Amino acid sequence: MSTATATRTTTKKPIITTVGLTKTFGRGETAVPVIEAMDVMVGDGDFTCIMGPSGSGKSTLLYALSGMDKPTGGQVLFDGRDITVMSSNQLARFRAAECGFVFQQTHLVDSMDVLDNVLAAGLLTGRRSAVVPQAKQVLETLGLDRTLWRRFPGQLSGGEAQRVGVARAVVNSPRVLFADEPTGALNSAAATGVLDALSSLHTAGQTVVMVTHDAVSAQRAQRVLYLRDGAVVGQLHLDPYRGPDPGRQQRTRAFLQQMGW
Amino acid sequence: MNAWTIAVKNLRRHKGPAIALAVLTALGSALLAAAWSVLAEGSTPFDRWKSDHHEADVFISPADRAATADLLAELADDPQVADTVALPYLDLSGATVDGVDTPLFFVQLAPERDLSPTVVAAQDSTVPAEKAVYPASSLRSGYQVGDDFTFTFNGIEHTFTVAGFSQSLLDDSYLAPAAFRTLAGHAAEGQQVTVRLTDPDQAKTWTAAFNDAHEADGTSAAAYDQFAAQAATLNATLAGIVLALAVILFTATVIVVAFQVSHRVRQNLPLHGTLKALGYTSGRLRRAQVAEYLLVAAPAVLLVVPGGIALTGLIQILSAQLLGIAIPLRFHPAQAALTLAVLVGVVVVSVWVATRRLRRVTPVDAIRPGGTTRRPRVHWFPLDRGIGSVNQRLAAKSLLGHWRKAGLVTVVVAVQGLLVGVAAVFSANTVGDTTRLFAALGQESFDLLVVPASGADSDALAGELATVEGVRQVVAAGGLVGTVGTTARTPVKVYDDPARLEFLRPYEGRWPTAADEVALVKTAADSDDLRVGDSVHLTVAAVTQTYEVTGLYSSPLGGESATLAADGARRLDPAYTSSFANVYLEDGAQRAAVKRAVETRFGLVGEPVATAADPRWAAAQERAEQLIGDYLQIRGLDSVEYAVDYQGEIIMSGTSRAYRVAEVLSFDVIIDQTADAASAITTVLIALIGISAVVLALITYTVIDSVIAARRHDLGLFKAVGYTDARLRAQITTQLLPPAAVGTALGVMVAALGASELMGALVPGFRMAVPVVGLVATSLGFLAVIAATAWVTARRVARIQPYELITE
Repeated sequence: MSTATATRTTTKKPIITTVGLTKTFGRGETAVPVIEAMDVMVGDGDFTCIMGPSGSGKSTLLYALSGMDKPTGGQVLFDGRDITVMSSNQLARFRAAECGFVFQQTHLVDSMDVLDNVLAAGLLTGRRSAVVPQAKQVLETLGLDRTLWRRFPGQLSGGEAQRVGVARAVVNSPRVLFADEPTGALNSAAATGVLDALSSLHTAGQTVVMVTHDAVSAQRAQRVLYLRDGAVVGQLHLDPYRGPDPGRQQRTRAFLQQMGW
Repeated sequence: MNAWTIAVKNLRRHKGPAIALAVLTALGSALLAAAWSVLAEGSTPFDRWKSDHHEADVFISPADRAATADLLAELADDPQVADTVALPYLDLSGATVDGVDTPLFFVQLAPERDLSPTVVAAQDSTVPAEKAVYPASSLRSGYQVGDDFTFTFNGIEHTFTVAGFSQSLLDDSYLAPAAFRTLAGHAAEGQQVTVRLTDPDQAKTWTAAFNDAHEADGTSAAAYDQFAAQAATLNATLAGIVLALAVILFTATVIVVAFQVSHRVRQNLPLHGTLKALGYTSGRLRRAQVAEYLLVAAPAVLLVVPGGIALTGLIQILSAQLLGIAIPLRFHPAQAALTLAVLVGVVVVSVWVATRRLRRVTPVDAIRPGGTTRRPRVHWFPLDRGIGSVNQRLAAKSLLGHWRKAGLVTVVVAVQGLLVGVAAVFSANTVGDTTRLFAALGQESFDLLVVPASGADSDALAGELATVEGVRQVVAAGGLVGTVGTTARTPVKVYDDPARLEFLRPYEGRWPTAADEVALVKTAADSDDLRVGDSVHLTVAAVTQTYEVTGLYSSPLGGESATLAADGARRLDPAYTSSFANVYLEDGAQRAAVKRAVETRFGLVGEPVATAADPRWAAAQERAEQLIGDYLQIRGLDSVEYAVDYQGEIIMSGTSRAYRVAEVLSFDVIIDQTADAASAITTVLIALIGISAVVLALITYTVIDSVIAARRHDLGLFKAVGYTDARLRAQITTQLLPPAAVGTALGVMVAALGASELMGALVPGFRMAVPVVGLVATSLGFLAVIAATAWVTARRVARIQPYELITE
């Protein structure tokens, strides 16, 4: 199966499609191409995981798909709209309405409490009367009860802080949730909590695109894209995650070993 | 790298702020140096002027021409007098130049004497002697030697040729003797005697003794020193204002530098941590910051001397405009170097203090983003409740999180608001209505004084004057001459109906209304230790009566000791009648316009019917001098220029139209001088407002820059989740407005109250009006400057890329 065919294969209606996506850092003689002419498709409702060695372009691809970073060439079609031609303000509004982000370092605002961190994103697109109850419900769903709502990020554990990050990302019911190594800075117990949260959201219909270099995290996905040198060199399809499954784990590891991981 | 190398590298990255700081340092030092130079000179420039221009020590105005000969004889016998010169003068106070009222005072030049009262500059000996005029410094503008100098007096146009310029400190113009004679028949002539003493330092003492000896005959002397002292005071005032500006800039420089250094240290914690990991000590890093500022201040060294010279020259120009002569002022480079060294030294100390945080930086800060930075946690303004949009509440959170910066803005704006507010209150009250100021100063003043023609009915005149547009009140008045308590013989003012003066209040008590009541001038009351309620004797001729003191006031115009009601005057002089009318104008009425209206309605302007060649001239002149003599007794003035005719009667002659004058007495000269001084002060105050705006903009730029740097991570995050640049700019700008508004309100309010209290302390009884519109406009102006600067500075949020922050 060719790379192009592999990356376009998805059982779901595509929500994100790239055409000849290219990203180069630097200029002239110091230019470094990170992604070259990549065609990728993300299905609506999919849990897509992007893996690969350091420097393969995982995060670059993630931020290009989400409009966080402008590609050097090619197109990124989000639900049919080319986001590469949007202005800075248009992209900001696009991200507010369509995307949610979970970062490795959580990147919560230290000076605001848990609830305010979530609402700062939520109130961008909704009224307080609707967003506040929504935010509280999301926090409770993610296992963050009201005793934690007035705490500051510095007063939370790593797992709690990351779940607040997840709540912030989904409070506006984004079309796609982007997660960049969400468990990278967590211990295994906390990481499991976050992955469980992402899996629950996916089960409820949320489209998730996650970058990870952790095989355990990759098992949560339905589709794993393996990148090397700025291109997709392999793809793995899995059934929807139902819980720990030794067979699933074995298949994932075998794929990754085949990719040279 | 040593500290200087690090400093140079840092400077390359922060060129804009470095240039701004260099300018601030240079300007602050130059202003300080200029002000210091002027203040250090004190009265020396005026002593030099007097010496260089052979100005006299004392000027004497004889009571009349007949007394001049006796006076000269008296002075010749005085061993303290080195030399005297008697010069005739012509007083053309009603003259117009190009249609503009321009009081002219011509003294006959005596160049053949070694003791010339003035040095006449740029003389042109080719101008015919009968045409040669030397205009005063205040008239110099627009004329060159050889130009025609044309003026109109009593309807006759006179043209002379500018042969040079007078540099008299008294602002006298000069005429060559032949020219003087051609004009002599057209105006009142007097004698001016100038005296040089054997010991000029005794001028004040000699003058005081002379005036005491001549109190009764009306001859008065004035020491040159009083003019020099006034000029020195004016110069010191100008220098003081410049000094205040310098202090503002000095303070702004120190604050801006300390702020920038402190914020840059916090911003670059990872860099400093890395340097420390490589072995750089705190001391070296702190010295690098100091070295950076010294490199910034280096250009200031080059700018401070020319800047100081230019500013000293500016003070000299302003002083010349106000005084009418150019007083040489010297700039002292040594003082400039000292002020620069002081300024740089203070800033270096503040930089050293601001970098103390570097002692706590550890190599760990290099690897942990945000380092040891702690941001305060703010529960206030939660986003789930309360009024205001999410952006406004985030702005409020940021404001509380950066309360120190907000406090700095509040303090700076309050100080600026205080300075500018005081300036606005003072200028509104002194420039707008100087008559009201005089009224408050003396509680006895008037806008116009109208003297009716001989035989005219003063009461009827007062009634008709009241119908002139712009006239608020007319009070018939007159005067007696007598003693009040133990005072020497002085004028006593009489009002026919003092109750009409309800808008003028003595600063203690009330005006007399009954026949046995009197109001006293404060100095007269103090000399006999009299207070309201006490009794005092007044004596006119051989008649003595007792009166009750009902009020105390002071008169800015001098001369009189008391005020009586008409009935009270008739107890001393049963034949007393009013002889003139005091006219008070409505607020905003133009004195000159009302004056013209009175002249037009009650008398013809210009067109003398006769000249000195007319045989009726002598009789008319005699009548005029008699009237002037009477008036001198009433008002205690040196001279009076004109009177108005009424109902066809001419002042000089009851039946002939020998000489018609048609002017109305006013004290424009005094009021105009005050207005000129106030205008000059206002010009400086406008400069103060301009500099305040610059300081505010600088502080705002520094604070906003610092806030953006401190919130860079948060701002990048907000961008990542969807906040637009405009929304973030609005958030950053909005957070500065509340502290700015509080500071402005505080400063302006304190200014309005404080200025009023200060003026009340200086001038008892003066009720200072608060120019509310002006103060509100000033406050809004400040807020506009802050908002505009903040909005422009906040553009740099556009440079923050969320991707970069997230991948840091």
